[in-house]
Amino acid sequence: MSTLLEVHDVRVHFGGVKAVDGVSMHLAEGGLFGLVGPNGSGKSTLLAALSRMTDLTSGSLRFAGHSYERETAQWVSRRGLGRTFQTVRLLPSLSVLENVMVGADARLYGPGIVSNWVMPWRTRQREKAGRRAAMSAVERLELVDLMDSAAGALSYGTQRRVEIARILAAAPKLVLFDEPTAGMSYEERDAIGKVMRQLQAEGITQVLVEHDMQMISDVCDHVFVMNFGVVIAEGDAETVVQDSAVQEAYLGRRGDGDATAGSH
Amino acid sequence: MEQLINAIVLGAIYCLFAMGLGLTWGTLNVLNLAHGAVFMFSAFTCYLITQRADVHLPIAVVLIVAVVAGALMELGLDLLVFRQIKRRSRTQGEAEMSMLIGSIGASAILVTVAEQLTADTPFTVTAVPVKASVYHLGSGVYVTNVEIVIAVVAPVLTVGFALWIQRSRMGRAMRALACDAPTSGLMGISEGRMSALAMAISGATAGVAGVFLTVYLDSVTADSGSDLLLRAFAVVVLGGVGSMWGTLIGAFVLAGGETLVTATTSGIWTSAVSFGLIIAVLLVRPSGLFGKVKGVRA
Amino acid sequence: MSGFYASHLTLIQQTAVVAVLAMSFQVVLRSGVFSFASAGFYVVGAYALANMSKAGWPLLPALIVIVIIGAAGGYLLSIPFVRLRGLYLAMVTFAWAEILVVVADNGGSLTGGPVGMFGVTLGVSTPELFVIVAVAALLISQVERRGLGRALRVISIDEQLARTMGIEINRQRAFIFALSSALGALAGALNTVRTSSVAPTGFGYGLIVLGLTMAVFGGVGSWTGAIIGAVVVTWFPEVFGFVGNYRSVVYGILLILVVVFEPSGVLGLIGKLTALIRQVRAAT
Repeated sequence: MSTLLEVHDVRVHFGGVKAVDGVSMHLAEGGLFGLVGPNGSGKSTLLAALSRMTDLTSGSLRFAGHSYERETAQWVSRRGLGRTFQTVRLLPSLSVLENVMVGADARLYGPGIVSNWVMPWRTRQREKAGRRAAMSAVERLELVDLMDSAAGALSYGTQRRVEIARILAAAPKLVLFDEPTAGMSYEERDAIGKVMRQLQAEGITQVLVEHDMQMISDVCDHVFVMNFGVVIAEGDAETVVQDSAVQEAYLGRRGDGDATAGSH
Repeated sequence: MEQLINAIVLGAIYCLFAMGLGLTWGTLNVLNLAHGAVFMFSAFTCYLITQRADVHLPIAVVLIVAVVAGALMELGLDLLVFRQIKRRSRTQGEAEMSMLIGSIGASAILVTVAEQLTADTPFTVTAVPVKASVYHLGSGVYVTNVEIVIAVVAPVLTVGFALWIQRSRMGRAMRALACDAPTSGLMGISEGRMSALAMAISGATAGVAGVFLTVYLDSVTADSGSDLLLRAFAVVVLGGVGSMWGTLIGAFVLAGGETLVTATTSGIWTSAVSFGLIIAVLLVRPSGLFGKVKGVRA
Repeated sequence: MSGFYASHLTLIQQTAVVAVLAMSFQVVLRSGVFSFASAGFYVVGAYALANMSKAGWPLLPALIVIVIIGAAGGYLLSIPFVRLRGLYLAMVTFAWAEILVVVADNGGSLTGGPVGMFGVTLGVSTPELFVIVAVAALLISQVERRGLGRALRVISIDEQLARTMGIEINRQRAFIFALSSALGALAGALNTVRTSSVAPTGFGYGLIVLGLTMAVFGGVGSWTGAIIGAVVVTWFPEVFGFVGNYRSVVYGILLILVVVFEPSGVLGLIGKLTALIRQVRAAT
């Protein structure tokens, strides 16, 4: 199994704040990785750095063999790195299917514009392919009945599923999930967990940032724990939970059994 | 030397006017394109009173009339248009665009009314020209009391407001509002009152600028507002959004540049100085001299 | 019917010309690009055509060249402008539109100064105008469909999301900016041909008010909104003749009402109505 994402000594400093201060990881292809840590530990900033939404202060990133710490977010997204956000980011006035097709567009459309504009025959093929990819993602996330509904009218949990479908329609190699189940019911959370395991079976690499330790231990092979911008422990879920440094970081949190789904 | 006085007076008016624009932009995220029309209409209101209604007022009272008219107009704009839009928009971006367009609509109303009622000819704020006492500064340089008043009052007002925004509690509240409206609301800052205050101040400064400029140039026309708005843009771009000191410096740089161009091209290309400055700043240093980067670039 | 046509020829032609102007506003506003630059390129196109006519150019080549000039000029302007956030861009393009009026006023023999130029010999027939408008509408409709259309919508709603969806924001914005500028230039040229003259009155700020009113009232969501706006705004003084010179007051009021109550314009209203009808049908 090859390494899909190499993170080497990444630092992200905002003026005096050292949000990420020397993180290195090797993510093997096909793995399902958890990333946990108390609020303010730098998880979200790390995700932002990995998806190139933020610039690195120093360090390097390699995705599928390509160095990309200097590339744009668009570049890496077109090459198969997708992500979800902490807050739902859909286009409320568009239908579910159209929202999911935006994801497919990411993979199908290159950066050229004028060619897409004046060559409608080209885009017709892409549109068909995009629609197919979107439909299969919609089916997968059990959204077929709501396909034509306006995304803005749906419940929060359903909107989250649309977001995930959107990522899937892009046929990503790696997906970064930023607290995807915040605000979901237990059933919905389990359903998402099932989807993730299915994706893993298909070879998609995933990173799951979560506060829900139960979900992490159910779903992830390997967990990284962050605090103060660095990784303080890593390993499989049980080992990590018993690590003293980790327990200290989470001082005051309740036990595994009634872990709450995030404080956002 | 005369040119220098001209530049100082113009600069003073520009900075006062631009400050109002910058105030609502920086605190409320509103680009109020009606600001120019309000400036003109404040002067127009004075014209209506002193000439159409034949009520003779001393210049000081005219000034007060303009201040009240300007403040009321922009307050009205806030209550009737901006607030209604904010209440109903779904996103910040949509609200911004809608308010911008709404302000253009408001300005169209004001400008057309003034244009029709003056038959698109220049008008003054007082029935008789203001008595100007001239002072001799030596070596053939003369300055009028009007010029002195403008050159002193306008910058003082501008600096005064700038300091107030920076130091006072209310000023801090306004700036908090600009950064984060919902949180400010939770902390007891009433967005409604702050926005009303900001718009009223902005309108008042437009009124003052209206009287000043009309007296200084002898008259203005219905479309003088958009000319001045163009200057204000250049000032804000040059000085940087959100920086009161930038506005001050930018205004005088612009006025200086214009005076120079007027002297060398006999006034044909004066208006182009604004645009030239805007392009130059955008190419070289987009955030302006003192601007905060937020609010400029995507 | 032909009687109506004949007696309202001027208005019909006017509608066609301002429709192109409306489209130039609609196409940028839909994508969240607050550009009024097309009002400036309108001036460029108007005077370019007058001069080309004097130089003996035939109509179609002149229009094609003008469209290219508009697109190229728009692209050039977008270089310093494209990264600017909404309000800033609005301000700067407003300045651009105003500056061109100054240029027109002082253009000497190129523009005829404040008086303008008369006796433009090039003419266009009404069917030709309709064809041109139809072609423009077709080109714009392509920008609203499929991946390109979606990408532009994403940019206008959520730029950060656009980045993670592989959308090159600056490129798309520059493209739409250039397209809008080209349409503005075309509209100006067509107007010169229609009136056989060009003068600086009504340019700049007044043009922006007109263009905005049409695009916003009709609905910036699609080119059909621009057409609706053009028709309503042109024919409204016909129907409400008493308004006379206070037209712009009505435009202003219209703008405010639309922007407060129904920002998506007539198209938005129609959309809501059809959705309502669908709901009623589904319930019964």
